[in-house]
Amino acid sequence: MIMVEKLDKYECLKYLASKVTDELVIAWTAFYEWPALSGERPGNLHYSQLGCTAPMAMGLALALPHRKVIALVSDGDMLMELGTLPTLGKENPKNLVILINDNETYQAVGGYPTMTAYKTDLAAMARAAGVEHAVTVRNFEDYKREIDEALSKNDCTRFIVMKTEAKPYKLFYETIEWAETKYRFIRYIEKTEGIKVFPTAVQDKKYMEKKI
Amino acid sequence: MKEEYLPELLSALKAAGINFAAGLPDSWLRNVIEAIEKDPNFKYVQVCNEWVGYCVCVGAWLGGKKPVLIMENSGLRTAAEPIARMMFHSGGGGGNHGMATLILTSYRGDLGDTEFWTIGHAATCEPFLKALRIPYIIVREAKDLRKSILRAARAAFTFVTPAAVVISGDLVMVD
Repeated sequence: MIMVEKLDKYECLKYLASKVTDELVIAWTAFYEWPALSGERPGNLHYSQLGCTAPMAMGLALALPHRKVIALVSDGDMLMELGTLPTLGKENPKNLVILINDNETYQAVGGYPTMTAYKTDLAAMARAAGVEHAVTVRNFEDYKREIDEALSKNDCTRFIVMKTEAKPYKLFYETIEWAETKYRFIRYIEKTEGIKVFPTAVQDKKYMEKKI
Repeated sequence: MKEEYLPELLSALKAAGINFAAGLPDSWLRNVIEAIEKDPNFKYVQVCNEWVGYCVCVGAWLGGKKPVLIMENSGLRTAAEPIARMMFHSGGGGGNHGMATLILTSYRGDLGDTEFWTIGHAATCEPFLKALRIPYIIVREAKDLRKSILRAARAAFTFVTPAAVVISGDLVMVD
């Protein structure tokens, strides 16, 4: 019997959490352990939509090319919208890290094999779509090296598939509210970038200035 | 779109503050995309489908850009799932305070279209816009183009929602 080495997702996220500072992180909801591990940082956005994490992160990375953007994506999330890959290959935002937790199962539904449990190789698909740096990591040393490089270099999109065991969650963030993280995330971007994203009430401001 | 209206369209997009675009061309709006690609005012991102295009646009909006998604109206069906999720899961629940982007779409299948296969595009276009709570304006005459773009963009970035300009009539048809 051939033993295939796999990673522990919790340990991987814990390592990433110890490294992040002001990076912007968009996380697919099933990364339940990330908010607690990363300290509920305002640079986290949580979203529950398979197929959207990677392209949203790509848009954000293109909008803020000087800022590191990390997408925490699951295998089911990436598989839902593989049409993202050719655009990712063409645009190649140098500040973007796509980190995929490939546990080969739809864990959120109680476990059912994703296509990566059979013959699908996400990193190979990304490379074929033009993503220059697309790798699969199966041991912790390789994982750490990839993360360290991804956080320290801004030379190309880093597409990192971590092959993990489908284990029960060690932490479950029960109070997470997606909208709450959206507002917090945008306010954080506004503050750290010195830009305005949310609208201003023009009429109210005008009346205030007139001191009616 | 008829070439003569392209300068007005680009001028209106710029006046509305639009500086980022994603798109998938159709035969009515292909030249709009080509013009935007050549214009340094815009960062243009080519996508393979409208689902990805919508996500790229709202991601750019999070980063402070004012995006426009350019597509055929059939793309509303493709993008419906992420639009619905982001609209109703991100704070508003009733159509406001979702994720913002302007949408510029053709009204294929509108009265006067020459192609038989567009009838389904027309049948689903407005029902999808309404179901997704997307404010929209249909522009069939050149005189309405500029103000419609300005108003739809204002709706998108003030109400924090997708808002659509739907192009048809004299802007694209030769009778």
